[in-house]
This record gives sequence, structure tokens and C-alpha cells, in this order.
Amino acid sequence: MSTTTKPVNQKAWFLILPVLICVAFSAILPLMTVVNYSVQDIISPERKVFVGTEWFAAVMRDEELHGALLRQLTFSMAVLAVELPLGILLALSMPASGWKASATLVIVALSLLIPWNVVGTIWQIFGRTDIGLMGAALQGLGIDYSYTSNATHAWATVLLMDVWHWTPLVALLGYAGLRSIPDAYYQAASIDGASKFAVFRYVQLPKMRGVLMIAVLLRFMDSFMIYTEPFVLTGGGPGNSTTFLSQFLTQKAVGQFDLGPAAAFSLIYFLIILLMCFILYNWMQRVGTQQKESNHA
Amino acid sequence: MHKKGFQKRSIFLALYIVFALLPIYWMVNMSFKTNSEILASFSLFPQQFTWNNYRTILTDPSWYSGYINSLIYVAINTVISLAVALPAAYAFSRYSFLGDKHVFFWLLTNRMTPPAVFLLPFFQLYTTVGLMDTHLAVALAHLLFNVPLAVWILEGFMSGIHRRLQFSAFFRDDFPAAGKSRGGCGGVFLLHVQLGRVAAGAHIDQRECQADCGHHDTDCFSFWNGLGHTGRGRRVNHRAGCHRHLVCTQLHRQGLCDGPSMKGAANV
Repeated sequence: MSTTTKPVNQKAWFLILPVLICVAFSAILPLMTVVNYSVQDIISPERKVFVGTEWFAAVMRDEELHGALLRQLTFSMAVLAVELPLGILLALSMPASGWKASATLVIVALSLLIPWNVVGTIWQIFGRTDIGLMGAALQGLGIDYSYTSNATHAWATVLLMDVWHWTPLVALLGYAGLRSIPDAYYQAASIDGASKFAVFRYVQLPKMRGVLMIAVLLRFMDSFMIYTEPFVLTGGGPGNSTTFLSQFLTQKAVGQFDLGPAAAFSLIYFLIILLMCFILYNWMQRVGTQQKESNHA
Repeated sequence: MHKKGFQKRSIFLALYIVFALLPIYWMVNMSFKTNSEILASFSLFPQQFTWNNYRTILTDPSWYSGYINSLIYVAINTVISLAVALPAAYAFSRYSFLGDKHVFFWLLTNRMTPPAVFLLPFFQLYTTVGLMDTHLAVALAHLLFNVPLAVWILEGFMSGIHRRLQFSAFFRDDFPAAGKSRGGCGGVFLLHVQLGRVAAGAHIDQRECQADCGHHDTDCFSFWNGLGHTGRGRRVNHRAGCHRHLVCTQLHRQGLCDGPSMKGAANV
């Protein structure tokens, strides 16, 4: 949200009322159900026992969960580490105007339009060594590539798939940020004799900060909740090398029908994401204001 | 920009485009092959070109009913999302009120919730309310993720308009074809179109803009008329007129038009 001063008007609450009602129905009610499950042992619909925090304690000690959490964190960090620089580089190298700009925009944005499960299917076929181009090419290069039996290959394929699918988002956001920089800034920089890196570091990067913050938050949240792509590609395997948190949760809730532990885990999962986003959001906003203050000084 | 740096960037861009298009190309390639050819041989181009696969998905109900279902629920979802998100985004971008920042962040947290968390509760909730197996249920469930995002994006968009009037310059640069053919009006016109899409209730008089092309101060006028009052429709009162005067002055300072003029106000 913007930090400029806005008129105080409490009646604005009426304007956000529809959203509140809508989200209350589709978020608060279900979330309360989850809380309800998490403190009970449900043996059958008629027989329920209140167990307090027992499920939470059990879930926290679960070794499998620790593994899934670690895998998930590594994956999300890898996603950010690859997609952010790649996206910025892509935004910088896209033409600024003309039909070329429009054409590149459309081509780059193409993968964003593809639904998750189709992305999974595309890469599943693309990576097969018998009928897929990438699989066959890698095998031709002498790499014994197989995402179904090699854990590292499976993990790398899921990462590559995510990079392919979502780097354009970072690039488009960065591109929008770049285009909003007035020419005067570049002129001033060239009068000062700034190097290209200096222009990037002190003009382009600060101007992209806002949109890049959105990109980081979105990519972090989405990669932390990734479900469909690995599910379609590997089904969480081989072993559980690509079983990320969402899939782990679904296995617990639907596969084994452990409602109590699954609900407790849901809440912990939600809190982890919430906490991380809160920290990221505040940290980035503070960095922004500090930068502005130092500019004024 | 240096020639050498430019080339390096072009090469990088070309490489990325190849990377982006190859998986899609492979799908297209396979879609024109027969099943036996896909499994039997490996080729970069279809050897026995066929339209049969497309004929199947367009004539077999088990395939195309999926598209119809998607369209129905997407329509419901879009209508509801926009209807509830627009007023909220307007409120967040224009006013400050008790707890606004907290509500905004809370809305965002819904976007952060893993869908898997809601798997069981949704099932229970919709069975209880009797919505199970309906399009509405899917649309409502998706609202959870779409509404916060819509509010977020629209809020940013509306705040951006208010604060940075050079936005119009941004559009002019970005759409040179439109800008050239209609003078400065092109950018404003496109902004109108953009907004028209966003603010469904705003009546934006595009003819007025097209007819008055070339006059920079009408640029200012229609710019302001299109933007500042999207929420309120066409009612322009005295205060808005003064406001507009101010905006035109600002635009003038930024070199976007000839200066303040009340010609626009007389038009209303």
C-alpha cells in the first residue's frame, strides 16, 4: 500500500464490506473447521474426543515432516535465487518500444497462460527419454537422465519447470518498473558519467524495488505451496525426493485420513508462510523507507 | 546504449525465447502426429500430418464439456471478484481508516494459504450448504485466492494513477503506433480503454477524446475526466472543476500539455 497521506474516512469500511463478507465465507469458516479438527480425535462422525495440543506436539516431532519442510525451504530458496536474477536480466534485455517490444512481451508471457497441470504434463512428456525432446537430447549428450528414478534429476526438473513457468512473471513486473523510469534519470546519470552497472544499481534497481517486492512475495508464497506440478510430473517421487509440504499434507489428509494431525499441520504450515511473508514484507518496506531517507539527506 | 552490450542482451533474449518456446513447440508438434507415430518414432516434425486429434477434442463431448464448465465458472468468478474487489481497492487507495493496513495484510494472507489446507473444510462446508457438485461452488472456492489478488493489483493501479500523472507519458512511449496516429490522445485513449476494462461502471467518452485530438488541453481534460472520476461516473461538480484545473497545471509543469484551461469544464 502507498505511504502517501490520504484523507481519513471511516465510511470507507462500507466499501470493503463486500470483500470481508465474501472472504469470511470462503476463508474464516473453513479455517475454523480446521482449528476444530486440530484439537479433536475424530474416530467416527459421532465419536469425537478432545485432545488439546496433542496433535500439534505429534506433528512437530514428525521426522517425515522435517524432511518435507527442509526440501520445501531449499526448493523455495532455489526458485528465488534463479528466477529473480534471470527475470531482472530478461527485463533489462527486452526491447523498450516498437513492435519488437510487443512481440517479445507476448512470447515471454506465453508460459504464464498455461495452467499448472498442463505445465506438469508438458514437462512430463518433454523430459521423457523415448518421446520427449529434452529427455532424448540429454541422453544424446551421454547423461543418463531420468526423472522417475533419479532423485536429483527429479528435483532439478521440478525446479526447471518452475523457472520456465514463472520467470516471465518476474520479468514482466521488472519490465513494468523499468518503463516507468523517466528519461531524465538516464540523462542525469550519463551527465554524471555513471557506468552501466552504476545506472543499474542506483537508478534501475531502486525504481524496480516496489514491483520486485511483489515478485519476491508472490514467487515465495507460490513456490512454498507448490503442489500440482510435482504431483503430475513425479507424484512426489522417487522415494519422497519431490514430496513438498502441500503434497505431504494431502497424503496425510486424504490418503491416510488422519484428520487431526493433518489439521494441526495445516495450521502450522499456514503460520510458517504467514510469518515469513510478514518478515519479508516489513523488511522490504523498511529498506525502502531507509533508502528514501538517505536520498533526502 | 552501446552496440556491444546491446548484442549481448539480444543473444540472451533469443536464448531465453528458445527455452520458453521449445516445450510448447513440442506439444504442438505432437498434437499433429498420430498416436502410433508418437510412440513409434522420434522426429522433430510430424511425418504423417493429421488434424484428427483436434477433430476429436472439438467433437467429443467428454472433451469439450470441460471447456464449457471452465467458462461457466470463470464467468461467475470474474463477475463476483470484480464486483467485490473494486470498491475495496478504491477504499484502500483513496482513504485511510481504522485498521486499513491490517485488513489489507489479512486479505493478502488468504492468498498465502496453501490450498491443501482448505481441502477438507471446503468439502464439508459445501456439502452442508448443498453446493456440492455445482459450478458456483468451484467459483466460490476460487474467490479465496482471486479476490485478495484482485484487490492488491487494483489498489496498486489506482494509487499509481493518483500519484503519478506521468503515467500517461508511460503509455505514450509504450504504444507508439497509437500515439503517432492520434497525437497525444493515443496514450490517453489507451489509458481510457485500460480503465474502462477495470472500472466497468465508468462511462468513458472515447469519441470525445478522438474528436478533440491535437488539443493538448483536452488531453488534460479527458485524462482527468477519465481517471479521477471513474468511481463517480460523469457527475462533475464545481470542486472537481477546480481540481481539474490543478491537475492540468501539474501536467503542464511536467511538460505534458499546454497549461491549465477550463475549456474542458465548459464541455461538460
